[in-house]
Amino acid sequence: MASRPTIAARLRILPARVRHALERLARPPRRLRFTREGKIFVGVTIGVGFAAVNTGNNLLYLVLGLLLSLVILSGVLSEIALRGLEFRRKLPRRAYAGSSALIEIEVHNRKRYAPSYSIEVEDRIDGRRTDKRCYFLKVSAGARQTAAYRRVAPVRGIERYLALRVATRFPFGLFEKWREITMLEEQLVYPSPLRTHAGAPPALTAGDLITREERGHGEVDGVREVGEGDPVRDIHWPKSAALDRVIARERRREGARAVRIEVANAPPEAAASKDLAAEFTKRVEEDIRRAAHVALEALREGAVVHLVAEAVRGEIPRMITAKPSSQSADRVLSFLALLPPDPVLPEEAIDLTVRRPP
Amino acid sequence: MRFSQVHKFSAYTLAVLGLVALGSGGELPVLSVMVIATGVAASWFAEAEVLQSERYHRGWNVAIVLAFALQIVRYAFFGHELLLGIVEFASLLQIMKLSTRRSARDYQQVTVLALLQLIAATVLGGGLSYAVCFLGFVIATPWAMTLGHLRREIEGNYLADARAGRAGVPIDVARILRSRRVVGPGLLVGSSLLALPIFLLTAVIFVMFPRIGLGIITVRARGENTVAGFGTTVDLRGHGIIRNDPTIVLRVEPLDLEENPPPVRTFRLRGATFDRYGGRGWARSDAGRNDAVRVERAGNHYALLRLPRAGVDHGFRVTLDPLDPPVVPILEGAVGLQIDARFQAGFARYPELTIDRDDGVRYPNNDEVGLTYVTFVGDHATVTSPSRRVFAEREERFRQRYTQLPSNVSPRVRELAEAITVGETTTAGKARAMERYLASRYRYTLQLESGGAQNPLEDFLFRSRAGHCEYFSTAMAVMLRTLNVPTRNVTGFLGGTYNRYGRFYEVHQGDAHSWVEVWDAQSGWLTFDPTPAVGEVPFYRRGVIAEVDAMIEAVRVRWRRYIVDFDLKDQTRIAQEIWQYYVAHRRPPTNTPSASRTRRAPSLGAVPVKQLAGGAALTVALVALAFQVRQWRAQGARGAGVPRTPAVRAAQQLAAALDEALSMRGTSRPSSRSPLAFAHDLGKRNDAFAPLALRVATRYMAARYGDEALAPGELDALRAELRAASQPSAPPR
Repeated sequence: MASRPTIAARLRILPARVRHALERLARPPRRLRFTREGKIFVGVTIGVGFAAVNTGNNLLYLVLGLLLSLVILSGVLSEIALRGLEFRRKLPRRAYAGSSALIEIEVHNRKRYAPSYSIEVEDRIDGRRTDKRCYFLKVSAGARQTAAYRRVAPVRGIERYLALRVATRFPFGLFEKWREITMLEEQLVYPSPLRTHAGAPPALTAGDLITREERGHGEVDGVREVGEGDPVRDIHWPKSAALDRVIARERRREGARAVRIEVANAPPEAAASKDLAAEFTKRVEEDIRRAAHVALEALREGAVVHLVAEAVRGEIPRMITAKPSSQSADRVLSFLALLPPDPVLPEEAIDLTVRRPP
Repeated sequence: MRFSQVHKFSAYTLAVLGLVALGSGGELPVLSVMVIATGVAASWFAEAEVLQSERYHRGWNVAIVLAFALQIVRYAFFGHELLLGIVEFASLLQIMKLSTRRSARDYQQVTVLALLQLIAATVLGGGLSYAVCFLGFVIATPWAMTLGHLRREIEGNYLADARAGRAGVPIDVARILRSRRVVGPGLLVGSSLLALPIFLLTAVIFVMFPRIGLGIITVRARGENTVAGFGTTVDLRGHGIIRNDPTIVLRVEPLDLEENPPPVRTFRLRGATFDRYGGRGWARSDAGRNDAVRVERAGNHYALLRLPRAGVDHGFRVTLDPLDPPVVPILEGAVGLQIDARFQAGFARYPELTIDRDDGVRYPNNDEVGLTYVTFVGDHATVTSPSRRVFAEREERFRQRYTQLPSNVSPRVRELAEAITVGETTTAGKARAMERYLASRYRYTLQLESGGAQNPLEDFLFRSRAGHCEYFSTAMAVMLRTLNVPTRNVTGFLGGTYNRYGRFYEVHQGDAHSWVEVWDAQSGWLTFDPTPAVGEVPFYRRGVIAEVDAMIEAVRVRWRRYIVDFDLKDQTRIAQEIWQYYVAHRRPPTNTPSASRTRRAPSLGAVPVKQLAGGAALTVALVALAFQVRQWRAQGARGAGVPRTPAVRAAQQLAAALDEALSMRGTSRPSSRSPLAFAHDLGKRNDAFAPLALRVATRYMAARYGDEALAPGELDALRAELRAASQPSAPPR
């Protein structure tokens, strides 16, 4: 039986211009929603229109003209406000689940003369609610402005920032016009380290002593450009001033411990019930957070960290070794952030309205 | 300007316009107007401390409830007019909102109230004052709504209290509202310029929206103030002060107006007729009887004597303010009228004119907006009185009616009449003799010298020999009646002052006049006016005030003609003209002589091309001026930090030379990097040009900001070095 052609396939027989026009029509770049004031205003306008048509009173037609002109002009001005704007999102270097992180939105008004008023920008994250918006009261012509919002990532893992929803209710607040600007970015959300007071976690085992390179301890062995995580006290200020670069002292290698951390993340072979599965996921999350804490502490103390996770879904067991360095903390946290099973997203953090960009 | 100040000003502008529009119907008594004006003015001074007080707000809430109750009591028990009560309460509500404005929400309510008042005023008013208010709304509404929206966003998006913002700077609503940076001249000018597209869009919508007039629910519209017109009696003991009253009653626009019309032209417009003299004044014997008949109509033409004939009769367009009673003043010699239909539910509705047996014409005054009609005046030879035939058929009966006299008319009145008309045998001859006699032997005065007498007429005739027009017409009518000549007293208007702005003649309340119609068996009713022509001229303003008055009046007439009276017929005419214009211009013209003869492109007759061109030129000039001002300001801003001295200019030229050299080498300095910073960048890249760039940039900085001006010739030398170094083969120095 011959399969029926899809709508997309049918559209392909059309000329490209027509097809693009239809696609634009199907998914208009601008969308509208009346505000409460706008609904009242439109209601009054309809009432005046009815009264004018009914009575034939020309003064009512005049008022009707005024009200409709304001609606039309509102559409034009909001369009001008949204045009010529460029946006840039700046994600934080590190984000931890459950902790707030600052996300900056920069807007550049590329228009030569017209400022943009009352611009509201909201991040659209794949399947997740943000609820936080950046508001720009006025972006002058040619100017850049930055605003920031704090976001608390609900769980570890990857957050996919899909787009920015740019909206305005300018000039009269009658309706909100918005468009979505596709801006794909990913943020790896690290597990929030969980401090353990009751001794070491069960997954932690001590290893052998090995030589290692460590910062902040030992004797000075030279200088180099500063790296991530270098303590401030190691910055060599005279050298930095002379070379116009930030230079840090390099210290001699010292002996250090090796630490092995195991995370039991493999689910039970047959989950007896939904509740047990949820209980397991919760326990794994806590283990991962504890592991993160221990690993970071160990790295800070100069130990080499071996992180081992169980095999899940037939994969081979995962393992990394992190030596203390400027990137080691990120390596450990990234490893832990991506460990299966996927964390369960709290219900209140789910947003099904977000449309994925093409 | 501070945001809060600008916002407050815009909201008050809109509120005042709404109140004025509402009160433009002229219904509010002076006391109410004064209370409203005082309330609005006082509310302006209610500021922060007062506005935050909860007791103050509670007080207002109580006051408004009490005011509402008071209005109900006044309506229910004291016969206060309901409409007036609503207008007063709506005004008080606005004052309350202005006095308790705290947040964006309050300001929005002020805007909404003002708009609702504008809508309500379409029923209550509608005169020129409404037009002015509407124009004000076109300008002020974008201000108020834009600023109201911004304030709402500010209040919704920023912290209400001063907490530390992201950058450690306190961000609070009060601080932003005090800011002068949010609302600059640009926003104010921009939102003011919005008035232009709003005006044009409103005009387009107004013209294009079909005038159907369903008439499902009708609200009786109130026009401008009704003018006191023709009463049911004429009392010789008083005349009021209308002689000096400059109130315009009607305008007469000759359709064939000459190029240089005379400043004064006497139009005699017949209004009401009186047949019964009671000794002290005139009345109508059929008052209260409805024996008027419908005026014959064919299309939009009404026949008084006959239907008007195009090209034969002279047309005069009369724009009449609403009269009470609704009499249609008819020009002397009129044969017919033309009144255009009004459309209701898509159907043309023609007013039904009636004519009484004394030739008085009336119109149904449904909406109190007056009447616009064209009077056609025919050749006098062909004119006959509309009631001539009827009168001839019942001559005896009507002779009794028009020769009626009260018993207190003494014989010496008849003796005087006989003495005046001695030797005259015809009715017309007697009337002319009487007219001459009174006009030459008696004096016109507004002083009521005979008003207090027991018999005012005889006091006028035999003692004072002075009076106003009603004395003259009464004297002539009564004396002719003593000679058994049928006469009737007529009141109407006599006058016409040219308004050069509107190209019509104004007829004022002070032009009210009285004269006599005499029945002649051969000619019908003949008009005689015994009042001396050199009587007192009505006092009207002259000079600049009169010119301004004339201008306002011309605008008023246009407002009424093009806005208030605009209807489906006008829409059809505009559509036809546009279509004809399009048809004539869509094909390229051919060069054949026959084609050029037959196909002549019609012009948009009604479109004021010159005015439109002038308006466009003015707009272009304003836009050019705005750009120029912007450039001046930008230049001022650029030069604000450092005065543009010759040393500074030389330094800038040096920087420009450096940029040029860089571009010759295929590099360009970003605007975000200073010359010195960019020279360092070049050094980091080990660019061969870096040493020279660093030297030039250092020199530039010193000359520009360090008071170390370039030495004479130094600029040229550095330029030459830069030119040489920017050549592709040049060795770096």
